Amino acid sequence: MTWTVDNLPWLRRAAARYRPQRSEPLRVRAWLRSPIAWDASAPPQLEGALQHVVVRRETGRMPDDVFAGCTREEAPDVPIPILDERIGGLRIARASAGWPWPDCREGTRYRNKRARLDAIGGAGRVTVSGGMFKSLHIPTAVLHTPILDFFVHGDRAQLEDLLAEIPGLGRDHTRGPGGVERWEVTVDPLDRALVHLGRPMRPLPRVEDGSRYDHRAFVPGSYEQAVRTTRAPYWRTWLASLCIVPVIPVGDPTSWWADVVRGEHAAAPQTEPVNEAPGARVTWEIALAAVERYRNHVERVSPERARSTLLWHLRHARPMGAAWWEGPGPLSLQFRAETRGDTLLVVDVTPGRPMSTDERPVAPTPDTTTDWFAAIDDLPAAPSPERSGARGRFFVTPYAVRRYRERIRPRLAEAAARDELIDLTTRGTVVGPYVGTGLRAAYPDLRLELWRAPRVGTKRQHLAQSRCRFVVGYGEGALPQVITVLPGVKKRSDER
Amino acid sequence: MTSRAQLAQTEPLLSYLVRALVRRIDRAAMSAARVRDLQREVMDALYPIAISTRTVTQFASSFADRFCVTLPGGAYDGTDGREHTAAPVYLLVPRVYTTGLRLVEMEHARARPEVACYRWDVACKAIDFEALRMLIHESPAAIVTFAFAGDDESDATLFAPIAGAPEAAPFTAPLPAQVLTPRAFRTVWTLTSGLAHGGDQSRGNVVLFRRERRIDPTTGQEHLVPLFSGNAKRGILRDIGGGLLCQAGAVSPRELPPRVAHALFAGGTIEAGADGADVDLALRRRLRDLLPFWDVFGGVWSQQVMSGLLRSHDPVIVCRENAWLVHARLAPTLPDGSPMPLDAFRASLRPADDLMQLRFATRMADRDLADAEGVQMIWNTEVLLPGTQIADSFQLAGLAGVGALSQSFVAYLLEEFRARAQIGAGNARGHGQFACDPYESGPGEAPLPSSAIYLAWIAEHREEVRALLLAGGKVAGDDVLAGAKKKRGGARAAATGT
Repeated sequence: MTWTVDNLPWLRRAAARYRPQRSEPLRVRAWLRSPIAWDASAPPQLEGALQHVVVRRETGRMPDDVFAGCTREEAPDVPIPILDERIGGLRIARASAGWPWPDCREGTRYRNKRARLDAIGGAGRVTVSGGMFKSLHIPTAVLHTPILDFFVHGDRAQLEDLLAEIPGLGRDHTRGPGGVERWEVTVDPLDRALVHLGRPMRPLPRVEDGSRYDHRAFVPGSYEQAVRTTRAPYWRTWLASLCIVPVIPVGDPTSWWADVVRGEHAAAPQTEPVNEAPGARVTWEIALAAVERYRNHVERVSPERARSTLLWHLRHARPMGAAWWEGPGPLSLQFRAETRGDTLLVVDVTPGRPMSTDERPVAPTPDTTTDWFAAIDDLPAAPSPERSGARGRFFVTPYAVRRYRERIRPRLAEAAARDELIDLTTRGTVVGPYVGTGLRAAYPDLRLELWRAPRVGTKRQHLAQSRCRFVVGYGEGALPQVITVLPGVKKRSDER
Repeated sequence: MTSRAQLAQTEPLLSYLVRALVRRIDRAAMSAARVRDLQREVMDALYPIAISTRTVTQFASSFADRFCVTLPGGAYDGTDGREHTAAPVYLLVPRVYTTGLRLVEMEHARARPEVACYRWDVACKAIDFEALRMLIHESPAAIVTFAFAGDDESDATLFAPIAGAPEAAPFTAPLPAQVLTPRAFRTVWTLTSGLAHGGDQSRGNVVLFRRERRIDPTTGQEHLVPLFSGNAKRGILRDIGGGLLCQAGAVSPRELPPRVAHALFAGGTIEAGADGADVDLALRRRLRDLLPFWDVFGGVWSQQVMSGLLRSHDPVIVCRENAWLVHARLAPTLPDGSPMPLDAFRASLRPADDLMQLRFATRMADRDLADAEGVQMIWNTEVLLPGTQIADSFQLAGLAGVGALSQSFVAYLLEEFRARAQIGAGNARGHGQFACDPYESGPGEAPLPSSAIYLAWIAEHREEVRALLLAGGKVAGDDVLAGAKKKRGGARAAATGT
């Protein structure tokens, strides 16, 4: 469990940051610039891409570097702002697979690679038809679709924050295929992250327990059975189990999925709302998602109470342009409504003014990341004492963070470096009084101490930040502060 | 622009048109070798002809010119020495495929009640040209197989009848008003010479531009759009970056161990054992710390598979078919300064086909020279016209977490890329030159730092970089080239890289 011990600080940090605070059913639509690499039996999922961003943000390193050395037994869970559901004893993210545009087409894209023979020295002969310098012309199955829809149940704000850093999906997206031009996140009135119209929307564990995920209740022909990983990252094949995998119709405009999309687009308002009368003259319907959003964002009451309150606000609402209505003050709730025949369906509710702390509801969503962390609670956790709302034993000055980045971790982003430095200095040990002259001259009023950070990494392979030294200043009436960071004592050239 | 219904309607008519043309090929006017290989020649020629013409009639005429077909018919001397007459080229098409089409029929003795006879020029009017291109792009072999096959009763059930074709109304989706645009760096290239980028498959002596199917969600139409791939751009950047790195380390690529040179310029090779079974954390860290180039591009180095930061997007050619993709990015305006709507923007752009042309080239045999062994050749290369604009973008993975040194290296790399300003194939012949403004950071992203940071850093660490490059590939069996000469099974050893 060495890897876990070393990486627990940022995993805990990520759990605190990216656990969904407010959850609602959403549709995340990717507008694709290029065809996406496609395997019908393993449709693309969104969770892995989100985890990639989280790891990058928290560690400042590429995930393959971070997870190098992680054993199969550890299998950490990188938190993302999507709710989980337990099915058949396994935790499944409430995120559907990517559902393509009904009119999409399958195709092939070739990836070419040539050895640059002019750059290769030596006197021997080079074979380009095989071996190390083989030139490649590899066909990849792709799907030509302008749109890929993911249905998730998660925290919209956090998802939007992470999505802005996801440039592509699927295999080879670093080279073009699967490039995302835009992301569009909308509230989905139907919660269909896992099941929709009696069909699975993503690979689900095969269960026969009479629940809504029991495959015997699914529409025949809407799924196939295969061994799949059920939790991102999905390349961990040793965690695979027998699953129900959805059969996604591709290029069939007569499929059930085409009917669903066609129906939604027909119902979507293309112009200004038909009924411009005040709210009292309109027949309202309230989607379950809107009720939940009200309960999560405005008032934690029963669903019936929330519904009746919303109806009262709606009866006094006034139109605010296409599809938007505003309720009476002082709450001034904003409603987004869609025309459904003679009625208006409220699909979204947002508070019209900033809420005070008292008005904010308590976190209603379940903790999605407790399982993995609960399992490793017996491990030594990084202490993070709370003091005046700030973490760590010392106040870490911006100058110290800058020096830390310059001297120890030049590739780390500032926020990540600060967090890492807080953890390191909290676990540090005192060496003795600081005897240098420069800092003592610059801070004559402070008592300076030299500290050393703990060892990070294995005995044979220290990380760069391992055993680095830092100077702590103590002054009257001020918290002890980390003034600067010094490089560790270099014992071997390859330790840094 | 093509819909499913147009494809379904066009497929049988096109197949019967090619069949009619093939049957009128004057094989007597061809050499025996050409007749023997006629199917392949027709298959190779179909797509270039479809790409280089603009109408169906032109397509048929061009085909006829190439394969000695006299479209209008008329009198001719037969091989028996007598004069014969022939009708214009005509198609015999089962009526099930032409129901609802208002076409003037010919009277013909062979025409049965269930089969209609159309003159070639009349049939051409009922064929959608975009659908024709799409079908030939998808599978010329299927069309040629049908064309060379004899009449069969099953022909009437081979294609989907028009009555059973899906509804013509395609799926459309309004472009969202509020979207998240992934953070990226963007610019627009303007070609100053023709751009060549070879297609996936060779078609005779015509090197066609790479094309790909694309669906416009705002109209529901499918298009065959020229494509310059992100992988090609990444390769160009990698070549430049590798060269800069060697230059900075004061080392020639040929001095490097072959594996290192291959890793720098082509990403290396994934071999057995390179799947992470033996992770060398120290080496990985050292590579990322000492070589910003490696941090940006990644690859395989001493069996360590490492991913890079660069996300190279497919550049998007600014043409009518791609209007929906580039509208938000280019933000065009009307003369009064107001935003130009998508429809107006689309109408203001030229279709992709109008941006392409074939460049004719020859290679002389120089037979007047004593030792000349060359072969005389003619070929055509399809290029994007100079003046065409291409919207390009790329991203650094997790921009928030990318160190300043790597960003500075990317800034240096892009400066060099802009200075060299060559992409695509045939650079030696003048193809692929372009001009562009510096890459700009997108919304919510800070601009790249100055390249001076990287240059100052590399000047300070030159010796370390040089040492790493010269010794970095030391793994078992590294001297692959030398080993191939020494061992008895040298060729096999070189091929397997052992």
